[in-house]
Amino acid sequence: MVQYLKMRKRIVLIFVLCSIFLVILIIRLGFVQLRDGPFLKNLADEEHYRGVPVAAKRGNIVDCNGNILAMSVSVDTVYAIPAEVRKSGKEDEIATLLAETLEMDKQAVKDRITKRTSLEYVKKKIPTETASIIKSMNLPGIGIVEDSTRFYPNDTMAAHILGFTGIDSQGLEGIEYSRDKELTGIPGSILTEYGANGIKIPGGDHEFIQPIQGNTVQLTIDKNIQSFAERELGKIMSGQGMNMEGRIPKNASILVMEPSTGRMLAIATAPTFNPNNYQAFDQSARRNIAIQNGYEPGSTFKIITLAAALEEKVVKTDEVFVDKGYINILGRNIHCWKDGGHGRQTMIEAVENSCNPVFIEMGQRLGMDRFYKYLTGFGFGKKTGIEMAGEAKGILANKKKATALDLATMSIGQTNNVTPIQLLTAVSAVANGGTLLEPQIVQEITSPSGEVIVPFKKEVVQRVISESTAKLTREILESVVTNGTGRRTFLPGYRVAGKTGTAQKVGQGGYIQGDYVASFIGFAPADNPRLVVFVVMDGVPFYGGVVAAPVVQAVMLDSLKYLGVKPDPNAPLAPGKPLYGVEFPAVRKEAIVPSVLGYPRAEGEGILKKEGFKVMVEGTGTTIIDQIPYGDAKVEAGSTVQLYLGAEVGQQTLAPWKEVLDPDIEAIEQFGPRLPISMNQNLLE
Amino acid sequence: MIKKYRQVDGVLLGAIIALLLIGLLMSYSSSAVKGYLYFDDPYHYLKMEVVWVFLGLAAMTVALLLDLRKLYKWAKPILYVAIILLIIVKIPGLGRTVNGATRWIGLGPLSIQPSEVIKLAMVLIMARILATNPRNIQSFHKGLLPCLALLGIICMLIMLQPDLGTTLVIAATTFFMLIAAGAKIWHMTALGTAGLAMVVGAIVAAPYRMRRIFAFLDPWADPSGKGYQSIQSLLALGPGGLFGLGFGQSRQKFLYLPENHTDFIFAMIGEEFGFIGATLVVMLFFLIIWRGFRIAINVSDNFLGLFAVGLTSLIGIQAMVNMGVVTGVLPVTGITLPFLSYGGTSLVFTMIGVGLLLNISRYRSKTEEVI
Repeated sequence: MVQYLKMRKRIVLIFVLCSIFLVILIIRLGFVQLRDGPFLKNLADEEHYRGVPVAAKRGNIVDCNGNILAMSVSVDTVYAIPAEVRKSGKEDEIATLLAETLEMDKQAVKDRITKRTSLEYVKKKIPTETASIIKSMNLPGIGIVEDSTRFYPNDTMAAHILGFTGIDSQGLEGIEYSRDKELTGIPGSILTEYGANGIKIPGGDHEFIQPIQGNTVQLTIDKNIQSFAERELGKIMSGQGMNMEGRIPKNASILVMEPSTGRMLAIATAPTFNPNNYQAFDQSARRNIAIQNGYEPGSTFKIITLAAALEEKVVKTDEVFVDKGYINILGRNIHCWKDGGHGRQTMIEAVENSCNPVFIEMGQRLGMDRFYKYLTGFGFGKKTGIEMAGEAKGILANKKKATALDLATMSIGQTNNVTPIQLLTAVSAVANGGTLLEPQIVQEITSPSGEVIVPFKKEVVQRVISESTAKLTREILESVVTNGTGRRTFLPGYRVAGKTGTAQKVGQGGYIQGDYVASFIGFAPADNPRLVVFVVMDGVPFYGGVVAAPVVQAVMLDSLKYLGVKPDPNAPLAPGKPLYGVEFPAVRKEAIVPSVLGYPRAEGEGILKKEGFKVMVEGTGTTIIDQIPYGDAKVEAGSTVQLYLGAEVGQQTLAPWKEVLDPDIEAIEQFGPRLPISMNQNLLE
Repeated sequence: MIKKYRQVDGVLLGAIIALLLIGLLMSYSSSAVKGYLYFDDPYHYLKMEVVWVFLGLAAMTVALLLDLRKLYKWAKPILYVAIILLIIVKIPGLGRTVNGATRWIGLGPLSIQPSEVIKLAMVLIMARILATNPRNIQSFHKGLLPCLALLGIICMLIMLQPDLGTTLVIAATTFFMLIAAGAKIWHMTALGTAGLAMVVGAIVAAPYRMRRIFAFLDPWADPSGKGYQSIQSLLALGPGGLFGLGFGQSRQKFLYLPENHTDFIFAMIGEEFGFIGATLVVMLFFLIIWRGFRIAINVSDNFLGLFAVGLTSLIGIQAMVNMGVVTGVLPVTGITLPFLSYGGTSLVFTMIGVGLLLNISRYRSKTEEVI
């Protein structure tokens, strides 16, 4: 049996081969299931889990004291899982019910809930009451996920700074846009296991990944100072501007800056809009003219000429000039604004008088090179870097082509095109001792737990003039307010410095008469400025010293008192020269504002009026939900208290945002993040 | 021929019963989703499988009681019938085409897979040829060549369907039988080398084949195409981990893994019962292979010994190839896992094979047991 014994050995050989293969198989199983198991499980989970995104609560935007300017309110979003809707076979029924409840077109709803996608939103941002109705219907394949919508409790306040958000809570303008990343947070998700056919796995796992709330953006803006500025704008735009004879400018801006840090305390622009309801406003109302529009500044610019001339020591304060009413440049006479001229005057008097020929003389003494050095040194012709989309650069006359005539007109603030924020920043450099700063609008970024993530940082651009020049310039500008064209800004007990400006607008074939950009820029206290206030009004037939100066005066006084700046005992109580037709308010008694929070409107107003306060009301509702200044604040007797109305204290009225809801989601989504920036019409090219 | 005197091999029978039970359990768990979706009854496939298991047990019993001497005589007629069935399946109107392959012959409510018949017929005829003239196998011309010619014809017929998996199993089984029968090792090595050379030649002639053949090594290169099944199989095994997700907890059965109740049932076991469950199944197949070859060695008859080698190889090779595919060490060939995969006739024929193997185990041994 040779054959038989051989066969036994051969079978053992085959058996060993098979055993080796089985061992390899077990080793391979070990690799796949034990070593690669966790990795493969992740891959499998990625395939099995489908998530319904849960929007993170967008961070608040608050003012420098933590007052909420923009907040998120809980709403709900209805979504559909089309595969489950189709599986139920009740597409028609579901669409009818949803369309009724959501007030949508039935066919549109049906198209959406049967679309060939894994997840489809039916309607975003519906009130929670509607959502709970839908929830109670228990429709197959239809779900509700928590969402949030933006609410601006102060309506129009600081609208241009805040901007607004779109339907997906994405920032579209303003800080909402520029700090979108910080505000957005990290969306969470409701994860559910699904089969390959898009149907939920029965008994499958659910996982809720908590969304992480966005960070809080604190602005440098002070709600109180902003409201002072907006109150004044409100008066101007309602035809109650002082000396305005009932006229209303095309637009106006008030800017307040802290010169030592570059912090913007207020940026108010009119016309304005309500970010709760931004679609209802014309796009032009959303334009922040203080940042996006350039204009020929006129006499306010003379501060720059003066500072440059003093720094380069081409003039002395006691130097005597004779103004014969005009100055001849290249065969053309440039007239002083005062017919016949100012005659004999010292340099300081010339500044007080805003005398054109003297400033032109200063420009000539500086010469083209040095003049341009200060022009660019003070930041003109380039963006200030303020965190606002669409900032204009302004336009400087081409230095290579500029003539002596150009130099002359530039010296008195014509020819060059600058933005209000540029001028404010440049004058702040004079106020703070000679350093040009980048204007800041964001104070700091804090996490939801209150931890500071990005602290405030002062950004120095460069030193432009020396401390001593800055000091001298301030003193001369103080004299402008005390003795010169700026007397309508005079505040008894405070040292205010400033400069008027009345810019002619360029029309067809030259400057237009009787249509000016009236402005005034002032700071106080002159020896250690806390505030620089700038007012610009476009389209008025009046001089800046007449209509803009009183506005600066009002904002300045309220702000200084609010900030607790004590009157200076050495400051004059009356201007050096009387100004015809102008009465200066006597220093009034201090008064304490009573708190009327929670009172019905009429009662609250009554209490305030009884105490001698004036009242301004904003918002709709029956209850006072907010007031500025707050209760117990010490203010000047007889000043104005701003009241905000709403439904209930502590819970902001929801009425405005309900109106925002637009049935056509797509239409809203089409808004781009920014508006086109067209140049202002008063450009000189 | 020798006489029966012993009990059937209990270990073998136990392993088979264990696999059948696991198969029933898994055919329910893995097919419940499909049953519910397509037949509105999660137990649809389980009910059918229970019927097939009983039919299989009956077939096994019949095979167990057969007189193997008669089977020796009938080897040729059975082969002819099997070949005729293979031809019939290609006649239009008689063969049933599923997924582009014509593998079934419909007989009223029943249907027969000729490739299952040919597997047993082939093992039977090879055992008879090799046992009749034991010394011929030493010669290439007289012994090896006729066997290879027969194998070639049969493989060609099966590839007409086409059915690569079955072809592979039959070819490998035949090789095992040739080796067991005492074919010269250098003959087999030469054959293996020639085969390898042909494969290399085919690859050189058309490089795309290489990509196709080796696609299984990196299924992620084409995750939604050729690599899809391999990836889904790994995505079942991996999450199973050591202990598995638990009975009925498979996620991949929710239509992610195609053929999960047939060709990829082993992946389902790995997903629901983990490394431990999968290894247990591998061990059960090891038991079958071990007892099968042990039966072959211990029977003192060349025909029965070779027949046992062939029957054991049929089951063992098919199981190894299937588990190799599922774990990604072999390319996807499309063959089922004996006892576990859902599938009626193939289970019945496997059980016939098992019955025959158990039948052989009852025959007397002259020498002491070796393995």
